[in-house]
Amino acid sequence: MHSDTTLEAINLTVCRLIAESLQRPIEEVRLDASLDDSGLALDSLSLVTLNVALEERYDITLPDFISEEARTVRSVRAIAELIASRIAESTKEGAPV
Amino acid sequence: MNAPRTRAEREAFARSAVQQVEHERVQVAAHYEHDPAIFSMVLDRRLAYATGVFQDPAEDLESAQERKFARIKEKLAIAPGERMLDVGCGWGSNLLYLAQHTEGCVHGITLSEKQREVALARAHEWGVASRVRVDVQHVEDLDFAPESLDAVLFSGSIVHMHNREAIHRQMVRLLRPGGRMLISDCYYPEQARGNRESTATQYIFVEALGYCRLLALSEELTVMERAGLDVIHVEDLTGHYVLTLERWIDNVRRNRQQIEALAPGFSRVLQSYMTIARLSFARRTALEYMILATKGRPKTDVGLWRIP
Repeated sequence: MHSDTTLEAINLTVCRLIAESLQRPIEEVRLDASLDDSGLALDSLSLVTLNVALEERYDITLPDFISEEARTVRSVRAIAELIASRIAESTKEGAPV
Repeated sequence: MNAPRTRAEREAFARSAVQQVEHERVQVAAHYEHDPAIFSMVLDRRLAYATGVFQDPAEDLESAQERKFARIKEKLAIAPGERMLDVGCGWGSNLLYLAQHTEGCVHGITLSEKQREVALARAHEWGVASRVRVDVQHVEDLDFAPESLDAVLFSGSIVHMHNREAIHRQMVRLLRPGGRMLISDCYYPEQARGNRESTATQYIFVEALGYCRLLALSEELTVMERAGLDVIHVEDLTGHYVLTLERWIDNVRRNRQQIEALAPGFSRVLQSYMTIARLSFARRTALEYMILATKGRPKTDVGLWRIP
């Protein structure tokens, strides 16, 4: 369990990882930006890299952002919200009864 | 053959044949030289680094890989005393299965010293060392006598070899009449699907795995036929590779911390390239086939094989 699992902290981490991947300043990665060509234009490798980095960072399992099963995960905010809900699920599962 | 489809392929064509062999010797080996303990956390217990054959989508990896070993054994049909070569034998998954389940003499070659060590240690442990030989050698450097082999296997390995014409001609030379050759590997659809110039393609073909060259199935078959082989059976295992990769990816997730402790950054490489591969097979922008060919008259009548 990370101490930085508030939605705000997750938002920041997602923005930072995307900025690193795109080699652009973090200010250019807005929360409502879409991942596809109409927004950040992350290519398939960047999406997979982001996927894996976030799974590793938060010790959770995420759907592949480039696959059809993750159709709803189309913006930075959507990724952060998904991560927050996955962390909440895994914390609930791991809690003592 | 068609024009090069990827940057990796174009770069290979710019090298001389000798330079390309050296390139493969170093770049391809690098991935497989990682600590075998890592691969034993991700793969089945025999360490097959190729697709399994699943009876149903919920089946476990061990059963699917066992079915694949058994299928390869049936297809190669190695009689007592026959000599088999496994090109790119890895940690000996098929090689040792065949040593244990036939009375043939099996010879594996790999580019990785670590793979050789694991395969030989297991051969001793499993009591088949007298019929198992493993060398660190590039396939194009083999100096066997003509017609000295009864069967040749390429499982998940020919994709790393650029010079396919030379390799198929060489295999025809080394096989005895009636000899069998089996390939289980990855191909591109003949019609261009997906972006073969993407950063994802470059990542998987070069950064993660050193060198990969995907032909269209029809190109491989043409090269084989031109070399003098008779193709007798081809089957599509693309959907099975999706299931295999799903299990490998889950195993990477499950063992991430232990993998990172042994090789920092490598769990990311494994999960990233396997995710790209899984999506490619799921979308059929890459295809997985098992090809069986013979030199001259086949010993087996594939027309009598039962389906299923």
